[in-house]
Amino acid sequence: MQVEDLGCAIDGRALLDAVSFSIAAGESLALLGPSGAGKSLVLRCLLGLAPAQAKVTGTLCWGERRVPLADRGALAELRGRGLALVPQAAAASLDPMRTVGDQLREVCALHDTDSRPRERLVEVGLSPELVDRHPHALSGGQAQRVALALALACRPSVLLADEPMASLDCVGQAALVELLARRCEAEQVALVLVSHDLARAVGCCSRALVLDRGSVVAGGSLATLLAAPPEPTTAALVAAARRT
Amino acid sequence: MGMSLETGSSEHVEEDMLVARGLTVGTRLRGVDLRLGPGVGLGVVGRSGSGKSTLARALVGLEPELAGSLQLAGRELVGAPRAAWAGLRARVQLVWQDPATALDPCLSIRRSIEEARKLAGRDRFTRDDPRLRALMERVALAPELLDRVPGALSGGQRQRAAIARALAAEPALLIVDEITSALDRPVAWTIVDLLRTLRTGEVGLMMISHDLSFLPGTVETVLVLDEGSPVESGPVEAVLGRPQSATTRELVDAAPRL
Repeated sequence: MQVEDLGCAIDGRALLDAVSFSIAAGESLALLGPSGAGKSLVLRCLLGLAPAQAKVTGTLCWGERRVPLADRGALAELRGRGLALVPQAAAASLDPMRTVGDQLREVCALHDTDSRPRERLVEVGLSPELVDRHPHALSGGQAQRVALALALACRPSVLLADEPMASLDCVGQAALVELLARRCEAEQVALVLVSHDLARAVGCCSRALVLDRGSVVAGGSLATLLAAPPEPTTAALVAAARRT
Repeated sequence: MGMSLETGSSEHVEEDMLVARGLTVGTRLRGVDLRLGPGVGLGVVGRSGSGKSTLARALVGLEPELAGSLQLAGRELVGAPRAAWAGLRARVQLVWQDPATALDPCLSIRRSIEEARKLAGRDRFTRDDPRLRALMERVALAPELLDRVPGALSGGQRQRAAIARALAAEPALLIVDEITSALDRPVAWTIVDLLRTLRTGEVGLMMISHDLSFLPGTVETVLVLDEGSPVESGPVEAVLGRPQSATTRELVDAAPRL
């Protein structure tokens, strides 16, 4: 997948400007930056879910296909098939009226993938017995893992994860990072992880793109960025992650 | 039995001390002993669901099912009529986790601060009150933001405004419940730096956090909770540096570090 020159503007105000990056199967890329940098908006634009009044420009190169990022219909076709999202507020993204198993079966039916809800729960480190639970009976960490299981059930080529650790405690965060890295490697899924937490991103990504106020300010291997932050936004993220 | 955290220096007047002995909330929190007030800095850590927020809510009178003992200025609050809790309002202030919902969305920051003063029985700030200016300076917020509503502030600014609102009541003890968890890390550190500055004054601090890196330098002692029970406590460097319980070790190992 390659993103070329992604731009997004609302009422003439540019929220994203010339964001470009590429990612191959099995690769992992962290989208880093302070709050308000536009990290989540990048994901929404790629999924065709930018706010209705937003003017989106740029191109998504998907294998041989070139999809204009303004074409929400074409992006909707890719959504869930090529690209799947693990949202920030997992508990709120689940249907409160239906069991975990029902929701997994529905996603599998929509995408013609193999429906084995119990096994899918085990793959994300959950007990198969949760299949009969409703979302309200899950902990925050369990709900986040169910959201990951739902995203992976689409058998996507690229997994987009929007701050999936944000609502978990430290122990849960460390476990989820490890799980994300393991599942993406096992299924050869490319991972784009949005995070403001550099230290966590290091646990599952090899490359990073740093955004600030809608523009890419740095990019490259995480090890290089950590060793020699090229500009102030990256330097601030590195300093905050190192500080005790 | 709970664990003892008798770290408050004795020169402080008993009047401002909040002392819990075997404090219990239903089945969610059991046997907590602690002593909070001016000059005392306590960190409370534990996994999600360990009872940290329940403890905070219990200490400000928001949990009805209390057992054990909770005394303010030597007067027992557990089982006492509501009126007995009134004195707590002015002395103990809680800052909530989510900056988006902690402040009334319809009130300007100025009015939220006024309301806190009124509820605590403090006199009103005049429009250009030097104390109001000093308060905004203390939390590093530009005075122009006073007339904004919370929706027009960033997450970090809202959290500073929520701290200003709490300090406006002139409390002896500030309880902060995961106030950095919704913020990005550089901004989170600016809030921790603010708490450290406040500690140089008289106000006591109870800081709830699942992120251990913020505690050393901010508080002196730490209490570790697991499934509603205290499992370890003591000086923050000792507990985090040489954890004795499996719970503490797990938290220390999971802390994000580079």
